[in-house]
Amino acid sequence: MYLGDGGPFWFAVFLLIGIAGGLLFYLVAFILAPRARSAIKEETFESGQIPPGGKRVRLVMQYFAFLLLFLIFDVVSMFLYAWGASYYSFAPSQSIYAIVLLILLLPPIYITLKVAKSVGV
Amino acid sequence: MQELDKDYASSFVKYSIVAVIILLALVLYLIYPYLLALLQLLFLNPSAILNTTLFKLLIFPGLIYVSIVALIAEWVERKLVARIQVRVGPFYVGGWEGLLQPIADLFKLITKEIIIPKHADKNIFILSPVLAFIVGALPIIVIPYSPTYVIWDYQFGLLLYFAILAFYPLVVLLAAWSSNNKYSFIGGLRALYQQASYEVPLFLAALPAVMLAGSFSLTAIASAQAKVWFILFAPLSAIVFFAGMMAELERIPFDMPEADSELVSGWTTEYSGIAWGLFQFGAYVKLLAYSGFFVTIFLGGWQGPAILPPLFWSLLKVSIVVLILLSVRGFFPRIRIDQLVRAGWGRLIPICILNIVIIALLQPYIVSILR
Repeated sequence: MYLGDGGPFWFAVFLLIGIAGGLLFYLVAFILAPRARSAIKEETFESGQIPPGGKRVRLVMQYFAFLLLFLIFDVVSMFLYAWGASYYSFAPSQSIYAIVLLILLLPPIYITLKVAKSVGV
Repeated sequence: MQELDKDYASSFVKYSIVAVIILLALVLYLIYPYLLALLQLLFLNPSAILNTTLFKLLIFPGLIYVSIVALIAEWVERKLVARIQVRVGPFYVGGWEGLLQPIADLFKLITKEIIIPKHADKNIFILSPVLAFIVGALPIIVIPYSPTYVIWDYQFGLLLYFAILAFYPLVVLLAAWSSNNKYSFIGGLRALYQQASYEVPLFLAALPAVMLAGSFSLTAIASAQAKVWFILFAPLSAIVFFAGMMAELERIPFDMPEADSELVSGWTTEYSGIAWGLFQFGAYVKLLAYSGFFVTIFLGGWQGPAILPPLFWSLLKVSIVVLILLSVRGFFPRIRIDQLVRAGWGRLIPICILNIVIIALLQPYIVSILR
């Protein structure tokens, strides 16, 4: 596989050196460090107690709505980048569409924050 | 007494020796012609070495520079925060002001036992520190320190930068899930919320730079600031970017994912020895990558009075930004998760949008200034 002499080639080299370097750290650590295994040491850490029940905790995803909002905003900001890159070439009157799109982003945030407050998170 | 599982570490060592040998052989095979050319230049024209990509990748804006700066940043942070809090900080190792403390820490961490918990998903558990280190270090490949000191002068450098750093929450979540611990899990979810909430402001805050430079290339963005730095057109975006930067780096006002007073050590709870060290190292490398990016898009990159070389200006600006980022830790308390989410969505995004609207409306004036 020929990647050329340009950026992608050096990107790949950097990636490979990074992985090799990280693994090398581990190897040195496993060779130098003492190893004294015991059952209590390898138990899940819970501030010195033997963990009761399951190993996982059930957690309410309180802010899940914000993660959904994130999906939408990430895509919209991608569109805005496509608009912003041609800043020097569009007429001033045409930026009104992008401004409307930007202002349309605000109501969902307002509603989500309001609902979040009323639910109490 | 419970029975112990099969020793995972010895099989890991066996496989990783093979992996490291294969990877290093592959790297050597790939860079062999360049290495040869470098050795020839060493005898013929030593000053030309500075312009070869291999030198840049391995030494100056690349791996060795980043590692040294990460070590220095650790010392500076401990010293600075100690002075702010009227302590002494590291003092003994290295003679003067504990200068060699980070290296002592590195040797301490590397000679400590790596404990692999019984219930962890062992392969992912042990590989995620390596991933975190790589994801933190890769973005420096597109950040320019001067017109020539950039490893990959990519046309879409800004997008590549964000694309690489978007993997970081995934790595955090992998580390948190695989350690199979309650503290890690809560810390990982908090990190996910935090990084998802602050990714959008960060992304929108970088938009003014792309608009004003008319390009996605970080080199073009920096050289477009020859007359005016973009922070003058986008001061609000710069503030938002700085806040988002601190949140993504999990530095003190935003350090809920590893809140040491409530969640032992957050998502790094189960990690010990050099595994934890790699996470910390990756975090400092990421700090350097973020400050380099901030300097490039808002503070003019290498631009400055011509009496000193461009490299001096970019290094000066990067070190000032790093110092500010580090010192913030001494001043502020930790904020709560609802305050964080509320501030991210309710304040930072509207401020970003306001700045973009202002720049869009003032287009004729700004274009006449920058042209």
